[in-house]
Amino acid sequence: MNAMTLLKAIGNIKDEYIEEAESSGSKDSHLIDIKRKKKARIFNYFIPAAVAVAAIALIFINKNVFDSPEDSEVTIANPIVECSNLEEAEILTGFDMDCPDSIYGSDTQKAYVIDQQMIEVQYVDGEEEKASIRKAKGSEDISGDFNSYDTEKTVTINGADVTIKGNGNLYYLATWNSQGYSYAVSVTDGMEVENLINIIENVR
Amino acid sequence: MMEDEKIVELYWERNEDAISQTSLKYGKYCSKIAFNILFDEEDTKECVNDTYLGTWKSIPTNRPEKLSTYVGKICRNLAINMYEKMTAAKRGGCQTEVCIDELNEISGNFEPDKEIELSELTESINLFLSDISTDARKIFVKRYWYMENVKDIAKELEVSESKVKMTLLRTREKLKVHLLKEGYGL
Repeated sequence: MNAMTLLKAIGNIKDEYIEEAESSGSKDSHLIDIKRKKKARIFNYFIPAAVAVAAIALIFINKNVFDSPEDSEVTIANPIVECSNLEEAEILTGFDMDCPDSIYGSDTQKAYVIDQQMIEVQYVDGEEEKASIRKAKGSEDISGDFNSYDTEKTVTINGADVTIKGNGNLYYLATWNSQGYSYAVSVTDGMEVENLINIIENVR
Repeated sequence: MMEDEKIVELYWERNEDAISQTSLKYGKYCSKIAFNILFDEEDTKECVNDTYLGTWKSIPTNRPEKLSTYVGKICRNLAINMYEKMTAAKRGGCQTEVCIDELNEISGNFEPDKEIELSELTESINLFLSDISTDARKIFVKRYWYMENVKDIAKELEVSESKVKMTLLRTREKLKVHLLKEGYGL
């Protein structure tokens, strides 16, 4: 028996144990795991950098990790800087960003700079992230959202072709390019197209 | 969101809305599972799409009571299979390699050529899990089913990372002893 056999056998353990472990995190985390999704999105954007750092880190890791359990994790440098406000994020990246003060009645706006080249503004209500807006130089998709959506269409807003994606009448993601910058709007619970367009119109 | 029972009914009726409803309700859940194992956006997409196909093919004849864990298991199995087929070079940074290394601590003690019946091994692991503390079980499942990293587990359970690592170490040691007693030893 090898470790892969053991890993496969663990894959079919009782449902109650799988649910128990999942539900011990945030409420309803199996439906909308915001923290996890956010982390995945951030890591998606920086996979090449993260892989490079991890590869370097691996060189220094003792192969017999169990003799030193404290050292058994591969560490990746954190590319995310939390800023006190949007202005600080603009200074760090060297470009300006306009966005709504509030979305969905959110009570807090948080600004981050990721890898020194992208601004992310998160709209938080209590502990829950309701929406986020990203801006970075270039034209690549910076959304980091790899979910599949059953509806996708293009609308022209402020002269830019904006791709919006959703399920049914609710849209969760918008991405576009304008004047050398790439943008992404992500809405956790989805919203109707008119409301999403209202947000996009105020993002520059 | 549609109730699981109704989604399963759609599968039985061979109504393709079943897939869109599954995607709507459990797409993020499956993406999370696959991404933890594969650490690649495109592979994750492919794996989640294959999960829907696998679910379509398997219902009927199955009628799962819990659709979340049903699709979750399909997704995890597919992701593990994909992981096995891919080159190690592409996998930097993912938790799967670390988890496999950790589990080698247990499995390395067993006869390598011995035929293992997976379902029997799973039953033995279920027995083991029923006998350990709830906290230890949650940490073990988060680590080796969901492939979450230690830092995230510690944060979610509001304990220190060293506590998670120590619990995992002790649980692996106990599992090794349990499996030896169950006849999986030399």
